[in-house]
Amino acid sequence: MDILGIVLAFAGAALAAGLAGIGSSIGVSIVGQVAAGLITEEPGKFGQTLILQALPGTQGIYGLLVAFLVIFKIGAIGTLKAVTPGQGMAILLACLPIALVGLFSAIAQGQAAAASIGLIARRPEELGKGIIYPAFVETYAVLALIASILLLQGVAL
Amino acid sequence: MYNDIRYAYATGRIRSLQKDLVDETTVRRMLETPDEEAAFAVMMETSYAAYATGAGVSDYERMLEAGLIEAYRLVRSISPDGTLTDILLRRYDLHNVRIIIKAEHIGADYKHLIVPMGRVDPDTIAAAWHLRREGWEEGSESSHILPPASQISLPRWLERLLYRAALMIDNSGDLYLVDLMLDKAWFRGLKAWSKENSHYLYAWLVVRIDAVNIMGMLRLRAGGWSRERWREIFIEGGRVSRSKLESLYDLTPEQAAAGLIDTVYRREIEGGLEDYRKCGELSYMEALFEARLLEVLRAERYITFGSQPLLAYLLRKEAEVRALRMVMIGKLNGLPHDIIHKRLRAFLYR
Repeated sequence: MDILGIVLAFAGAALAAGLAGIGSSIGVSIVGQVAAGLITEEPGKFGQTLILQALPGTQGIYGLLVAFLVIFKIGAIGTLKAVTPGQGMAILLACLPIALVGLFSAIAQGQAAAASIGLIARRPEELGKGIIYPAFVETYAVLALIASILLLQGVAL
Repeated sequence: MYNDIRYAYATGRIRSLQKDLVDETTVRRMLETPDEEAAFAVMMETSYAAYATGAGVSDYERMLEAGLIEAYRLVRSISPDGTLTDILLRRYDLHNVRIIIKAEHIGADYKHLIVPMGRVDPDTIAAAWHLRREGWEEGSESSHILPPASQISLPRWLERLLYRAALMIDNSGDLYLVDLMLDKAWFRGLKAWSKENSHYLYAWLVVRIDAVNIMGMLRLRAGGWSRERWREIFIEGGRVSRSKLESLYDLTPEQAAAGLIDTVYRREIEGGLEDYRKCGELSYMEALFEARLLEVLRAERYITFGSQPLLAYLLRKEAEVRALRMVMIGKLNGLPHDIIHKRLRAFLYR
């Protein structure tokens, strides 16, 4: 069994879950800090801020999803399949869209959601609009997820 | 990068507090009341009501002061950088220095004029000042001036100012020069800090310096003061140069103002000039500059988190206190509605 192929596939899964997770944790943390400031003054807005704080968390889930797909593809739970270095590299590259876009889009979405907290601080009735702006950032994370899934499907083992 | 994550919590909190700032409608309602009692009743609907003691209208000044003190206390407690509030509060330390020096000079009691907002205990300032230069050592910028035996501890910048003030009074006895020196010290300190830490505050300060220089030049000119006196008050750091203002000094205030229309302050100069032609007063131009200063602060709206919302909150709070004080003083003195209205221009049309 060629160990290099397996290592590359594992690296892809780790990057997808790791980088997207880092991005989400930063994004959620940003929104959480701004929300905590608002809640100190207006505890009644907890529910509204919670929705906004959850938004940048999805990238981490997408990254984990792709990592699971890789794990099942190479049989990491159970019997490992034979993965050539070329196949391993292809799996690693397939993981990069969600790893990189997940990292940066989660931080950007966190900032957009934090700005929306500023919006609902002054105009709580505009929560809907406040969710739509950061939600648009999500589009690119979803596109990256689709790209990663399709690319993984293209790697035949 | 515009956003500074260290300020995330503070910004969230300030965004909520911004809602409690007195709005234009409330100021208009106060303005349209028939007397001070009714104006005070409207003021009691604002966040300042929390500081009322039940003394009625006479309580208003204390309430405004308490509101401002609370705003600074809160911002200082949530700001990751304490120097942000300290540098703004330095103005109140300098006010107290001024009061202590003048009170000693004329032998009057000063306690009731002290503003309890500075970062330095006024009693410590007074103790240092009463030592005068006795035993003070003139040293380099970094060495102590107050003798260690005095057991008085003051920030270095304040020690140096007191020392300079003492020298000035000993040499000339002119308190006006001390006043100028203290004013310039505030601008200098703020300029140095903002240049290093906040381009946002620096942009505001540049407009403030220009406003002081332009209004100072026009006012001194209208009062028939000499060019030398104007040179003394000029503050470096604005966009309108010393040479530009000096070249206009020999003209009438109207001609001098017209000569400033080609600067970035065209709107303020034109509006103020029009009013000056009608009433012979420069107060409207001053109000327009105040409006311009508030306009500069608006840039914070585009900042998700950073020191800008905190600075804007404090500077707006100060403008708010000035506006409410203006209405109450106007009402208490029976000033006509349109006179108060004109001076409130900045607040009503920002």
